[in-house]
Amino acid sequence: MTEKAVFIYSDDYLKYKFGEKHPLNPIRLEITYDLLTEMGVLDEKDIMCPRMAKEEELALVHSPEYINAVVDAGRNPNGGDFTNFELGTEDNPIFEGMHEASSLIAGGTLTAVEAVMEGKARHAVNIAGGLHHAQRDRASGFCIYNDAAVAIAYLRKKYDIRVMYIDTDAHHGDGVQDIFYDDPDVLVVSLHESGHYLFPGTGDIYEQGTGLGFGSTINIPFEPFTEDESWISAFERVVIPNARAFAPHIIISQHGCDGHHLDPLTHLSLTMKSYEEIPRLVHMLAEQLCEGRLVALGGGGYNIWQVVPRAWALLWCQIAQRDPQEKLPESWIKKWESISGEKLPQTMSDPPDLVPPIPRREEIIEKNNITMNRVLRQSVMFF
Amino acid sequence: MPVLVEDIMTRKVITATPEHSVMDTLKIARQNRIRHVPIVEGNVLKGVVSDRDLRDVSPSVLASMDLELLEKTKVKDIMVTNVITVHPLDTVEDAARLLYENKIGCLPVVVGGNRLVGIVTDGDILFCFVEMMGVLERGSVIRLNIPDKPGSLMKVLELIAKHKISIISIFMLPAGEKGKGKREVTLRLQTIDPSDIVDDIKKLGYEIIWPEFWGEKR
Ligand SMILES: [Zn+2]
Repeated sequence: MTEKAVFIYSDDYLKYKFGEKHPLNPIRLEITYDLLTEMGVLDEKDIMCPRMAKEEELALVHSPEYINAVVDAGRNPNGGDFTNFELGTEDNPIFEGMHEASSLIAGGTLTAVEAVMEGKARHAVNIAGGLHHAQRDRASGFCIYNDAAVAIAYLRKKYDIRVMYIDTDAHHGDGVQDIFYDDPDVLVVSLHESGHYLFPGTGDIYEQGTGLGFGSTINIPFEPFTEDESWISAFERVVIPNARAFAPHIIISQHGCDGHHLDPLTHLSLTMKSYEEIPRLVHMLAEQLCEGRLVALGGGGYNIWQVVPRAWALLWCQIAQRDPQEKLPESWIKKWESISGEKLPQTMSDPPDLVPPIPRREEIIEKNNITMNRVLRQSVMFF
Repeated sequence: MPVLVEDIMTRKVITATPEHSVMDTLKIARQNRIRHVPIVEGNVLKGVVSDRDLRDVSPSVLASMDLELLEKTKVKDIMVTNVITVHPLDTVEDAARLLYENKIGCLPVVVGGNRLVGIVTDGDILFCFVEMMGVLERGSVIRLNIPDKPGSLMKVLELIAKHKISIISIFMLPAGEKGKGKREVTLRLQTIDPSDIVDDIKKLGYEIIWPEFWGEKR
């Protein structure tokens, strides 16, 4: 089998754009791509072009009515009321060519899955993917088509294999959870900020799946202001033993980086340390359990200058086993500082004093430990 | 949203009669996994026994190894007869207050003074509040203090409507001791990004409690 990792990318990814003032700005993909190129860790032969997802592939998880609504709305953005599908809201504005742009992202994740399953690559990374909120019959939280769910459903149908989905976005991976809630062969694990305040509000530890799928959903909700230590230890204490017990054939991971302290949408206090460590652990699991079969996706991430490019550069470096330099390239900093008017980071890691001392820190750690113990106690019965 | 006792009460009530033995009543409670058994004659409420009343009989019996006592003692000898009850048209808030103030776990629902038509437990009330909080729908939460005067909530609602965002649930607490002149409001909004609304609320001069409390972030 090949040792290669592939990076799925196309300039057409930038067409998934809700508008100038919308928090999900696709330029974050371009800045990341540019950083990797300037660092010299990504070149032509690593890149694979995404294909479009076919409508019947989208229909593996989405209702025909919803797909039709996306097609219609995208053809005529001012043409009607699609709010039943949560399209045309402040979160999910309608834009021209919405169906095509969303299908390309879902197709990119399918390209990644095919590359890995057909032995063309050992691992594949699609940073445009990870749109984990989209539901069967409606859009949600900036997500039109649920590329991760489409890819998992494709794997289930074509190969009938066991799939583990690991979601470390700051938001609960509710769309993927709901779609496979009763499937015992898809283990859905989500680490996230608790839904007490944060969107979508789901992801409590008691959501464990239903019917035959009971036990194949694992949620680890964290307190606001949670730091690296809790986040990484949850992976080691809960995710790894559950992965071993489940023995997946392939891992699909979602790497939203909106849990970073500098992200404007959430209230976690993670640093680049988590975004280095999580991909390393995911990669290790894939090597140990799945002969390397791993598809890593992007996700949320709304500090597009200081956080996203570094987090996803680290993701690629960890998975493709490239060496990330601590000092970021001068040329990259200059170029994007002049475009953004923002101060860009000089180094890959964060300064040690990035997160100010957090009041109630000990209580937060204690509560997180209690949560992890509860989740572990619940999940060991399925080993 | 359920507001009346009849909206949330259990109508098929598991009961026993005053002539049942304590042992039989214990069995009824265990088999049906209930903690309170209304005691009726026909459909007339005569009393209630709780798991605690039943347990209180058991230890002395176990001590003397005389299980016969459980068989011989009749429920009518241990049941509580001055039962606090509610009417189907009482509000859920009434029922919650009665449970809380009297430190009890259930309220038989009666009409005509003593005819049993249902039962409400502390669990039913909790479930009702969970539903009312709307946690089953997707959204983000913000908490704020608004001035305790007419029209101030309206300003917040108008501003949210301007952003075309739906409200999943809204809670307003009565003005508390420490917050004289203001009221705390908790809103669950159907959006992943409430930050524009938070900014607009601040422009009104209202105080945001979450996402600002616990300090300094942004
Ligand atoms: Zn997110």
